[in-house]
Amino acid sequence: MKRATTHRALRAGFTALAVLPAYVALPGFATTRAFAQPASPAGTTVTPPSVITHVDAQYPPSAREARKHDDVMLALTVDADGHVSKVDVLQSGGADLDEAAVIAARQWTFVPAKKNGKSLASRIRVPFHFAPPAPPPELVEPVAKPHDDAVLEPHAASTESDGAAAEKGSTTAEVRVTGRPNPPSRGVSDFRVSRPLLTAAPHGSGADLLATAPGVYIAHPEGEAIAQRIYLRGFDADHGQDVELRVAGIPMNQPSHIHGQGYADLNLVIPETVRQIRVIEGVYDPRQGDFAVAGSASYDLGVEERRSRVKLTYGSFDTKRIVAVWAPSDQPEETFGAATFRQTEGFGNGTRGGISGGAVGQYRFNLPYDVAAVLHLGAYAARSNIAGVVRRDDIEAGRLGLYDAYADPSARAQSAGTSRTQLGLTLDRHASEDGSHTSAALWVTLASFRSRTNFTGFTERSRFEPTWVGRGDLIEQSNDDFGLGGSTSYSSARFEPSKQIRAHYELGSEVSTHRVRQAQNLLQSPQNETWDMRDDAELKMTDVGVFGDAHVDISRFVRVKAGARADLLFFDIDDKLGNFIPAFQKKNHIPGFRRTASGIAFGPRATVDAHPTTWLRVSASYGEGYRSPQARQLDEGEQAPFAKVKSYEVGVTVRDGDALSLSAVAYETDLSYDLAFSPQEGRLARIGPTTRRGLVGHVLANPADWATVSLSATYVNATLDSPPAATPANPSPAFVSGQSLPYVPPLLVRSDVALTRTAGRAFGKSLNWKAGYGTTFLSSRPLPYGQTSQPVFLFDVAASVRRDWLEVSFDAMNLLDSRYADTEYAFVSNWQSTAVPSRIPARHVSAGAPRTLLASVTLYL
Amino acid sequence: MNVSPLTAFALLALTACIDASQAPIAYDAVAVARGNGVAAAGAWSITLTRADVALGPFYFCAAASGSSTLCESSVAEVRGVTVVNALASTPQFLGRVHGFSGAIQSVSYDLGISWFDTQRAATPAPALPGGHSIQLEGVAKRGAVSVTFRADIDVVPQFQGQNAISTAPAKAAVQPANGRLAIVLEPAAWLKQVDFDAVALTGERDLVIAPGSSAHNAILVGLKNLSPITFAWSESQDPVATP
Amino acid sequence: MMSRTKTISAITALFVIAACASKTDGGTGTGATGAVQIFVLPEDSIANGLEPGNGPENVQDGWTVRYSRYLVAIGNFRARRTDNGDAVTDPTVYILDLKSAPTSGYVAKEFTGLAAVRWDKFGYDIPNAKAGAKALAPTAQADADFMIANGYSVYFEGSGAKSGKTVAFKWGFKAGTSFDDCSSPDGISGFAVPAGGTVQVKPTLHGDHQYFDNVTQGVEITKRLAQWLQICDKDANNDLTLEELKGCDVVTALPQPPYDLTSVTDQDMDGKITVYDYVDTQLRTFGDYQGDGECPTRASLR
Repeated sequence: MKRATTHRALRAGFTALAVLPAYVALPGFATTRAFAQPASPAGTTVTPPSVITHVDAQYPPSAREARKHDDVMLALTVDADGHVSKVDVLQSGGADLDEAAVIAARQWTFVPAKKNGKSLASRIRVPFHFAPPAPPPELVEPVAKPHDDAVLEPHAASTESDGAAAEKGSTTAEVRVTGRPNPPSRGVSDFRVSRPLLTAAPHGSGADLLATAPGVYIAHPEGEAIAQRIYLRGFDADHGQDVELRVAGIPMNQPSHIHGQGYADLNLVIPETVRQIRVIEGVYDPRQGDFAVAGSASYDLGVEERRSRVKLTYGSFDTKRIVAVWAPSDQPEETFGAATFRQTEGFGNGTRGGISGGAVGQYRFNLPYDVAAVLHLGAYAARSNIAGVVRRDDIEAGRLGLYDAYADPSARAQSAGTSRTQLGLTLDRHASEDGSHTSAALWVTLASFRSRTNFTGFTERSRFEPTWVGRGDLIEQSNDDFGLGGSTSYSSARFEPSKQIRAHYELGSEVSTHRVRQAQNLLQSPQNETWDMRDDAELKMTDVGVFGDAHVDISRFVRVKAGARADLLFFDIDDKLGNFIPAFQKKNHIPGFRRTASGIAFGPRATVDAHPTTWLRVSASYGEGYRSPQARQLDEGEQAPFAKVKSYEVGVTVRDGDALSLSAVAYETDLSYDLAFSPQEGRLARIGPTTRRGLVGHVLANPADWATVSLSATYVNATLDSPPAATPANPSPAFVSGQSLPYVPPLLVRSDVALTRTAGRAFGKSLNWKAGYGTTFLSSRPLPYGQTSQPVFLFDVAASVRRDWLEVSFDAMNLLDSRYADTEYAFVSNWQSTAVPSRIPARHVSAGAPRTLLASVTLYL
Repeated sequence: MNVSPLTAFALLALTACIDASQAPIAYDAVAVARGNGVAAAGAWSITLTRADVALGPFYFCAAASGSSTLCESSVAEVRGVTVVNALASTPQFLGRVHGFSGAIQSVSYDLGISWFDTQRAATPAPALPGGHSIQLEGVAKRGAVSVTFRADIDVVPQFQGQNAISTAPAKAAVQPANGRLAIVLEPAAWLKQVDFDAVALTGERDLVIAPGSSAHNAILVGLKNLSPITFAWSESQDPVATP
Repeated sequence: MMSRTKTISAITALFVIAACASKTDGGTGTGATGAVQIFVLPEDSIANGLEPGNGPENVQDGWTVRYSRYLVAIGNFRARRTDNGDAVTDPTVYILDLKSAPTSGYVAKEFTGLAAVRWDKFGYDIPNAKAGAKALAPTAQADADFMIANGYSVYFEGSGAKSGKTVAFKWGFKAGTSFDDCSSPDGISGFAVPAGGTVQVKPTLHGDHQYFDNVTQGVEITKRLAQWLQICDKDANNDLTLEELKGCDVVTALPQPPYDLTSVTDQDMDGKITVYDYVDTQLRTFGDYQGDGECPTRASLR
């Protein structure tokens, strides 16, 4: 949200970067942070004050020369009518900065704290962070205001008298005000997408919200019980193999998932509960771990409007959805509960029906010793039918429609069912005495997956009984994953090694362990009899990661963030079908192949930021990341052959306050080996080293108080660096230097526009109007064998009007009813649509959804 | 280096245009008969008066083995089944080869009788003469001894999902400019291992060769092992006859 | 709390240690090395013969086959990485008595100092024996001399028996063949070298291919039949010679069906396809890897 004072200051050329929270200048996990003590003595109900109006501090002209960069911690006494009656400086940043902070803070107004429903005076801490004129760390959206993050905190140590007064039943209690987590930027490609843009266009799922970030396209070729497919800046990341995904700090990627390495199902996310998404495109932050190849995305959950609500939706294809959100006004944004159920018949000839439901809840509370905690619980389950793919030549010959599915039982038997439950706890402690910060997190996940898909029709031969053939390539995959992990980190206070240099560092560790049971079989419909077994394995995987990160302000103009990360990965594989005995051989041993493997992945990451003027920021970043291998493909003692990625980028941002931000990035990403989808196995296979070079342009504008516009264009030249490894089946793979990677759209343009106005009245209440749209343009995608796909243009529109507790909204997705392929493939199939089967790789498509109209009514309680 | 973003964009756009992976191509396939229907089998001279041969489908493979178990993906194919007169003096049009440019090392194919993955049993294509892969008629002579013969040959895949000729060499580096695939067959030579001496000893002079007979087996040996069909790619655009 | 100096030192140490541990080349290793031991093992059919029966692994027309002597020339072991082209090879050829092979097999070769990564290409030759081929104990030097003198790639003695009739054979073949692109029965190509350790791989030689009813391609879908032992014993003296094989017409000995003679070539260039050609062709396919894994890229050696 824009603030007039900030605008004035910026336009004057001297930015008052009184940015909250203070922790923007501190490294830390991208997790929710709060600093609070237990709410109150037992038996009492105390609600903290919440901000009604706040004013940013202006960067004092006197500090310009020295380009001061410091924090000021204030203690505000908020009286019973919500005004600031007293301001104390708890941590000084120098007289001029202190004064600027005090002037601003005195203008704040609050809903007063309440105890058992009665207003009372309270004392809160407000950190101010001052930075010299330069772009703020986040690029997409302004940082959070601290309003409803205020949490009651009976003061423990810093002001004894207040604390004592509280204990004695005084009407004054101390509260610390914090903002949402906002880790420091790691370069121009470190995007934060906040709620106004997330809600501009309609989004069918939590995964679809990612599409608002530059260079991201989300597809759903396999229905809603199978994870989304992600394209990010030239990477076909499949179901997550190249993008590290976290929700509320909990890793979503599942290592060695049978359906695809790094499989991550974002359907657990209820879109209404997403407060911000941080997308780092590239690998520049030491906190980025496994699967951060193209980049990473982290969902920050919170409900900003503190009213509970129920939303009912009905629309095309008999789609029904209900969402209930619980967000009590006396709790911070991170505390909420939400549940949703959805049912649809799906588009096409009745083969895409699905039912799903999920719940997400968080509760933020306080522990002794200034420790704030957030407890997160999420669960999701879904079952859907899958239409599968259709051959292009069958569509062109009129044998099948784009939205049809093959009538064969083996095609109609496609379905998927999945569930995931996750529990997380994050703990944060910010030491006010020296500004250091300690955090810890613990999470546990339980995920199941079962799919039956048939991409190729009738081409497979049984490995167990090689004379069995032509029974349908209905591949059943199952994957049960129990994951346990956590992290700890310590971020030091700032210190000054020399007069010109200020620095702080962070050390952290992150561990995870997974126990996976997985299998892959071939089934024969209609009774789904097993006619071949391809995999049956138990996997034990452990990742121990450590990282160090240092932030150094070298001069007034240059800041360096540099660190490194190392991960030890351990694998224990019980491959029950290993040492396979072919059917025509004498049995001379018992099948099974148990093995262990391990490896260490290391990667330095660094970003140099220069901000020579108030409106210009130039940065350069380099980082090395990795992707862990599929456990089943490891041999005994094998040093885990990580896919290594090297990311380079230079970027520039030109910014006119919050009104306009223009960013441009040139980047290169080198990957030691890439993976591509293998339809025969329904999973990923190696294709060799690849390089992506590209440009990203991004414009973010707030042309008026009621309008927010985001426009991005990502161009990438993704190439295969060397021929795929020769195999007996293809001893001389065709390759020419510079050969384009298939399936990657060279140009991706995305725009989001959000319009919000209050206009008119009805029955004595004002009407709030919202409208927005999102457009996506995908240029022709290169396909194997020199073919290209059609370009895709999608136009999604949302509109709503709200009067107090009632909101009516309409969503239209693919309003222009583009007939497009969500995903295209090229492989050999036999769907018996011709008398003589072809064995040449043919184009197959998974249809994108046609025009989908949804109407919703939301009741605010 | 001083490169403007626009220049960089232009360079990138240029490199993106360089894409020279295998390109889809289509060209004619023709059947070319060799030998004029005449061959020698030991002391016997064989002359064919009829040689109707069902050809297809053909699947060409980049792998050294064209077997369906080693080559799941073809790089070119002729899917039609065409019965040709293997005594014709001019090439006969078989159909279009659809596929991609690039290396070919092997082929697997049928002679009109296929056993596809989804078929319970080997099945003749509808166009087959009398339901057989090959029908030959002719005469074998050794001096004054003459044996006329009429052969119905079935070239049947050994098991489901395999072609009758599961793999055979077919070397080429097919470029988009390649104009034609010639499928060369010499039917008279297929009788090289037929034991006409034994036939002559029986006194039979009008031999009917049917599936299951020794002569049938011998013709299969001739077809598969002694004088197999060969494949040649060329830029020839000579007129072809339609069977 | 740790002092800042110590902390910075710790961070620096972390960087250095991690950097030393990494030194990745394409993300595929840590610069460590290991070794690979190459065993040669005879398949069970060489050691114990083939049994009649109805099982897919049995000889289905009632014959029992036993070997009393089985010599083979094997060597030129080689491995390669396709990611960077690194290769190791040892041209040495060994003569092995497979019938007398220890149960642990022959350790024919050990390559040391190999990068501890996956070597995805492995191959070897079964060449026609030439001077310089070494007998590997317990193979007798006389056996090696015999193989070299005759230029055989494989020589075996044994017999087939059915219904009280026994047909003996003593055959040497010059069926030199290279075997490449070997992968395990699980389809994993080559081998992975562990850091500071040894991986064992084993070319495995099969004694039953000449009884197959086709020349298998990849997946072995075949039946074992041995009636031709009797059919080709034209003089019915219960001793089937190579000359008899060369005169034994496949038309009668190996009828199609059940046989499929696709890929059988005229190995002796006599203008006819005989059972000799059939056995010679099959003996160019009998090299496997890690038990029943295939080496599908094969080429004849002269």
